[in-house]
Amino acid sequence: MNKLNRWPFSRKTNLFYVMLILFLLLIPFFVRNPYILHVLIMLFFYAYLGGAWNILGGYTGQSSFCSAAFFGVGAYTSTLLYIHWGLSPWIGMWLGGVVAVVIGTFIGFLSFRYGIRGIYFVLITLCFGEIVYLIVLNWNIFGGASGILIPLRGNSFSHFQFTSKVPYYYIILSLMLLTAFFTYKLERSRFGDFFIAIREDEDAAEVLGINTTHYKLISMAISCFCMALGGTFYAQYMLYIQQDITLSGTLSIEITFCAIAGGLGTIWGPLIGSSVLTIFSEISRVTLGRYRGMHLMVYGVFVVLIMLYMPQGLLPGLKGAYKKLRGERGKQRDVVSGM
Amino acid sequence: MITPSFIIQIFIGGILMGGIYSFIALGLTLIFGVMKVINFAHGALLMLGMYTSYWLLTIFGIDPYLSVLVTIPLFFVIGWLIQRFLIESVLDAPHLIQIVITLGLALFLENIALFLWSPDYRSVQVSYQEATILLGDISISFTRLMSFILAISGTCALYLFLKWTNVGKAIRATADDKEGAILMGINYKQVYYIAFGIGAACVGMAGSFITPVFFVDPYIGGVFVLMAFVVVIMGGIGNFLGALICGLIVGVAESFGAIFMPGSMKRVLPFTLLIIIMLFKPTGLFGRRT
Amino acid sequence: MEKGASREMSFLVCENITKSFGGLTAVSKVSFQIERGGIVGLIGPNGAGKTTLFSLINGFYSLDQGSVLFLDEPIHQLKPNKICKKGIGRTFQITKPFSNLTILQNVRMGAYNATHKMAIAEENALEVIHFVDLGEKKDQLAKNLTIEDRKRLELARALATKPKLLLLDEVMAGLNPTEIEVVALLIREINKKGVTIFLIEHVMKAIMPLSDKIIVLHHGEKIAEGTPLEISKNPKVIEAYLGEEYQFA
Repeated sequence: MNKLNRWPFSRKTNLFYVMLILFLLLIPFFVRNPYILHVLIMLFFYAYLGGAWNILGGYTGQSSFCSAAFFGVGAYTSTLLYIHWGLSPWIGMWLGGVVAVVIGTFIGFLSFRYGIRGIYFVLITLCFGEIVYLIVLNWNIFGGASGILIPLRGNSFSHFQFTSKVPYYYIILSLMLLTAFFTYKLERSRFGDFFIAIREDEDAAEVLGINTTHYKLISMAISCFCMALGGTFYAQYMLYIQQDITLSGTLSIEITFCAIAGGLGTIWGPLIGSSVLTIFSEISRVTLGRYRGMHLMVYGVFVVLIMLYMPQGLLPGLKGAYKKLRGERGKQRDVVSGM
Repeated sequence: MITPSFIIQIFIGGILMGGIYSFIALGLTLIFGVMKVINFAHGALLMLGMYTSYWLLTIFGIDPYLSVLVTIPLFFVIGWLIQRFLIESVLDAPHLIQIVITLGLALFLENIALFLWSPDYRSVQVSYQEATILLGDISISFTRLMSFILAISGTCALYLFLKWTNVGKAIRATADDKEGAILMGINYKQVYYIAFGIGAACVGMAGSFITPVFFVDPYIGGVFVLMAFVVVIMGGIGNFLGALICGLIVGVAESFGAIFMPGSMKRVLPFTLLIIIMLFKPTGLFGRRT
Repeated sequence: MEKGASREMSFLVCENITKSFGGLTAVSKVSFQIERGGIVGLIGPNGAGKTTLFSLINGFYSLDQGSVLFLDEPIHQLKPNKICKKGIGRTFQITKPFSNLTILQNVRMGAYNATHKMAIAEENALEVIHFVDLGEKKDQLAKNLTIEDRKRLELARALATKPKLLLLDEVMAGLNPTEIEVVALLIREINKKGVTIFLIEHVMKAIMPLSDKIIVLHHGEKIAEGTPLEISKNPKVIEAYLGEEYQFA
């Protein structure tokens, strides 16, 4: 690579992505079945959240397990502002993002300033997520055990509600693509370099003059902000929020699974991970759903198998298998500019 | 009415619960201390231990406290198998992969329970279920006291095992210095199998003797495992005495927290406590310096 | 310390540096100065506290007592990244490369210390890579390198930060005599470019001819300081290195 910011893809790859995005954009024109649209929405939903997690977890190497907390912050902020003050969820969404950033930066600052790393960071975020869940569960303003129903307004853009699934489809697709594009730009920027250096070896990064705390906080802020937006989207799509759904540890884990299973530190990993896991999950839910718990059992087994046999994730794993099939010895590709 | 006996009652209740937390944490800290693996499936194993005792009682009429004779060997084998087939291949992988594997396992186990036994709460009914012991003003639930006694006995037994038996010494050696242990001729893989087996056996046993105390449903493990983590980190990873003492501290903290905080909020206290401790002394209250 | 107006700015001044871990004193009341421009060696038997001293200067550990002044500015309270910005670079005894990145990417990370622009960082990185003779391997992943190349990468990365003072921690460990010669030459070249070098080494044959001055640590204390010749004749130093063997003799 002579120049760093030159579009490094061959024309073939360019074309592939354009076709892919075009395809995704056109799907609602020939798919009318609301159930399939729902599955796709969920697929992009998890891909979006997984992509947000990827920035902090995959690129910066800080595995947070409280994604649901920030997701919930977004959902509850926009919802409460809407119900009690009539504020449009479109605006509430951004405010939710801000609140999430503030809280995330707080917990991040505490952790990073005190040198919490690796497994300890995982545990602190777990505890934090649990605390947020308990607070919301026990505070009536959040609806308690019965949750909060968002008043039905039918088809109304300003109220962020639509009777058809199609607008939701485009919104979440846009969010996902924007995140992918952001990640792409990040990879090629100084910030991305710093994030990756921190992931690879934090002490070495420090000693080279990189203010690791500063960049970890930035990474965290970006991730939290995106999670919160996702929370608002979810609230407006489902029109019902309750802490067992929006703040559960399971949600955090599912988001993380998508990113990890797809491939940490890659642009399209979360989409691939989410595609496989969501579709797999849906199929098993449909076929095995009458057997309580069966599909989650299968989900668990599936995730474990991926970790045992393709620990870098599906994207790198499949790329490796593809290369082997083609007999290439595989050029030394940059991990940074790869996908 | 805040009388001295009220305070003592709360305190004792906390200690009794704390002993249970300690014992559950013990298995976790053993696994973490030896293999450096965080076993997120620990809670699920606890839950399975509880179900095992429940069914042994319901079908065969075996008293839960006696059922430990079954759960200990059964879960030892389960632990052995988990280490052999799941953990062994990812011992050197990034922590995240190990976490995902144990989480996946937890998900699997929880849902096997859900599938087999439905999400309904179940509780055992034994003849001494409601028995209490009276000490002046203070009443102590018999079942909780028994759990506590068994927990402490188990802790002591484990401690002596690690201290005096050859296997125990091998485990400690491998935990301290794997390379050195290999040089001394210790088969570290076997040690790992045994360690995980013991860790699982402990938590399975814990499940047995808390069956008379708690309802059992497929998700009961979740709460306990987080508490166990709090105890493990607080006490210092791999530190037995630390786990024991901090288990008691967490139990008491939760017990007093219940006075001031509604319902499940009392659990906020141990988590907050843990966060504070992790910030200022991540090696735990009793942990060795990193 | 003089306070005259005509006094030149001091370079690195360490005074009474003390650090304990738990009950163990790793470094005890160590004081010394390093002048700009030279090569200073730090030697001592294993466990003498040499790497700890580096980590104290570098900001990884905080001092229990004492002070570190760099260019007349106290730096002992600063974090490692700030200290790097002030002009002190450091390599690690056990190399810490960014394993999944290429040599070029690794060195580029260091180059960011002197510039914000990615393109300029890359250019500077290439320059340094060619200087240490890793040019042909610039696109190899760090995790696939030999130990010699890893050491060189570590050096290059630290060099890319454009340091005024470079702390090298056993940069020759694990190398064969030929490789050691090459590294020694490289260190001289770096020094000629104006970078002051402070290095820890066990390979006496290499560090003695290289250094203008040698500081000797033993059990955390400074037991000697002087020219290589003086040090090699210093009875305390000889005893420190041979002491235990003598007892068995």
